[in-house]
Amino acid sequence: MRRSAGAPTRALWTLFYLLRDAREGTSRNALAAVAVVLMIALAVGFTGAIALTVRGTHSLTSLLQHQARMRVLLAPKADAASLTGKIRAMPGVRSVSFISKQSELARMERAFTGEVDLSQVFTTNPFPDGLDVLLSNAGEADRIAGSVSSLPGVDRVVYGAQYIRPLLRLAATLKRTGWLAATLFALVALLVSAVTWRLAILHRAAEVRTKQLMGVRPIVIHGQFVAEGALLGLIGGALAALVLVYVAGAFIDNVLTLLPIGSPGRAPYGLLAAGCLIAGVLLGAIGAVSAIGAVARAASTST
Amino acid sequence: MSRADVASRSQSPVPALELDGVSKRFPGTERSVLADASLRVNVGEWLFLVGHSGAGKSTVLKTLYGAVKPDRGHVRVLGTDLASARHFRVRQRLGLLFQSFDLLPQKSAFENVAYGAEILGLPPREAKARAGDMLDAVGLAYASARFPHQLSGGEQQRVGLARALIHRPPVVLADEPTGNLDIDAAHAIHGIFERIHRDWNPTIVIATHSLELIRWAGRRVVRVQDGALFDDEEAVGRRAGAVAAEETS
Repeated sequence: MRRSAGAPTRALWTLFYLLRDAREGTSRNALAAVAVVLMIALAVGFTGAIALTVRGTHSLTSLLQHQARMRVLLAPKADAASLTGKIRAMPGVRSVSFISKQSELARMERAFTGEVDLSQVFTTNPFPDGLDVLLSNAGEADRIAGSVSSLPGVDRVVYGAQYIRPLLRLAATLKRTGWLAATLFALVALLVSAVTWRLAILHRAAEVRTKQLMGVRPIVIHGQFVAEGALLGLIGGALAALVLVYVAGAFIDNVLTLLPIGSPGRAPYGLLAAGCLIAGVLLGAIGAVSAIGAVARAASTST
Repeated sequence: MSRADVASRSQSPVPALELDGVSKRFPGTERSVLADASLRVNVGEWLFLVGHSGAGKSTVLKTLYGAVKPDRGHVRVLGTDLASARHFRVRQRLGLLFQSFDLLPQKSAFENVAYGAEILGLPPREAKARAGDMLDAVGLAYASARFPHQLSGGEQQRVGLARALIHRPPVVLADEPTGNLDIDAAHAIHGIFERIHRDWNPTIVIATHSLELIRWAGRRVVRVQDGALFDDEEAVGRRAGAVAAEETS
């Protein structure tokens, strides 16, 4: 037959037809497309949320580790200056500062301003003198607290061990398993996406078979579905990115910044959005490849 | 009847279609559909494949377009051995027509026909021009915007034929093309086959049950029987008689 165009031109037109058919295929199978988009959005969203959680916990524990502090309550008539020197010399202690009983009362009064008049509650200042000890590593809080408690003149050591210990354990666990969980979840998401895709294009087996019989190149048949998968994956990834950025924005930037220990820092929005889009495209395309492979094989054996 | 083997019809140096000692048995069945079957179809020849249901007519056609892989033997299409060829390349040189029409349901009649040109990478303008011409040629210009579900069986088959012929293939293979059609629609399809054979002389192989079509067309008839292919001399004889009677009158 007469060929009116060269091979590169024919390849370009073939690509044009492929993309056109991909667009038509997507809009024609709206319900299936919605199912694939939602599945990919969920998969990417959950994986992204796990990644964000791991990152956030890591940042928070880093902050905590570097900002862990304990309050040393002194016995009456204790030598604050001597104790300050001894504690400062201990390994793992970053700084020690003296908090007088007057300044502690003043701090409490400021804290309860407008709510309770402490001068009406206390006839004498009930607070002891104290030392504010800043640690360089929260993991050593127990050891340092033990050492400080045994010093003469120390009444009590108060620190958030009940919060720090579980948080450190959680952080260590998340550090070890978080990325593994995210990877596993991504694999499960890929599998679910492939199954959803297979269901979505199963009823198009006749279309695949007809195209095979007409001599359509396998790469074009596959390419159409891969393009459809990538397009739907892009939409799913964008949905996931919107939700994650919104949630991360609302939670990390508006809530976590209020923590007294400081903010873990803004979530990397650009990276997050790009990651969601790329993950969505990959999930859609790979899911489509696996599904169309099976459907094409089934169609070719039914010809 | 005589075996329709390679030696019996050796007119063109390279046949358009050739089965050479082909055997095929489907998994789970005891009987071979094709057993050492041979067939040679010359360039420009038109033949009918006949045989009872299940005899293997469709298997012969499927073997020719690569949908069935033979257990033994060679299949050559336009000189290309299918065993070593990429099937889509071979199919792009064929025009395939099926009893079940196999139109793309999401495309209109016009788009279905144009798709036959698009898969070759022809530009849209050329594909559309050809599609318009082909729909005209099969008498369906009025239905070009309709979708397959809006067409009758005969109209769908004519769309299928227009799609199969849009690239003027040198070989046309049709599997029961009039099996689902009434007599008028079948005649319309036969008329188109006659016209294209006269116009550009493609090699045509039609698997059919229709004795009327065979008698009317008066072409070579090959019978599929017991896994072998035989030239049906009786049918050839009838054809010769009909031609002689026509010439006498």
